[in-house]
Amino acid sequence: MEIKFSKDNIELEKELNYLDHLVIKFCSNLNKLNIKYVIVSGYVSIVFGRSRSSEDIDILVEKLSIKKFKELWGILKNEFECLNTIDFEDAFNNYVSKKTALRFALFNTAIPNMEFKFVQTELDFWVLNNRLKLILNKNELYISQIELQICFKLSLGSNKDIEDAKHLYLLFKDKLNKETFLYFLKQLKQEKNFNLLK
Amino acid sequence: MKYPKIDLEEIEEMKKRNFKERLKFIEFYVNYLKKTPNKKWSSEQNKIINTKNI
Repeated sequence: MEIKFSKDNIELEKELNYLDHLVIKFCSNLNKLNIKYVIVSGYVSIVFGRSRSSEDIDILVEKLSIKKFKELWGILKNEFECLNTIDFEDAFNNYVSKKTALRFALFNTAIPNMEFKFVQTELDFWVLNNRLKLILNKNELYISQIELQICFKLSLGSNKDIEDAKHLYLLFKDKLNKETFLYFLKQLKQEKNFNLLK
Repeated sequence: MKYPKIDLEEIEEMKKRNFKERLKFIEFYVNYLKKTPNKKWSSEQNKIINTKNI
């Protein structure tokens, strides 16, 4: 695997798959509107080669005003439909503003879909503010810091999540910021599960 | 029809064993990824993802 690391970003060139195309399409709309977002969870492992697929891609988005959300809704509806509701006010007032995710899929499909949430917790804000730029075949995406991703996946604890964590750890262990990694490992009380990664 | 007895402990053991084997496979697979050109591993991965077998 050839990955280019620089101070501000990671570059990866590969043969794109269905999930990559979905993510690139969706995120290009957010980029166009200068909306800050970060992709978290399974896709972060999958984009770096994990041998599995996923039915959804989790994306955390900065809190938007209803005006900005309407603007986003307007451009998303050229390619995507929201699976929860067809009304943007309903989507804003009864879903994202109430900590409930919206799901956006390409027309006439249900999976895979983009699971869209506003940031809520202190951890959400941290991951958004410390997002990592990934240049995937010249497309700009933002993903979670790998150190947090590994520890968080480990803390979720299902077999699939631990496998995702191990995949990322083994792939990036020489590049991890040890202080950040150890901080999250400790905060998420995962020190005793660290041996699962090795 | 005669049905088999189910030993839940045995199934639990089997699940643990499978999980250990999967973790072992990840070690093998990440080593493979590290030494394989992007074009090749991504083409292989796409066979899983593009069939939408989730």
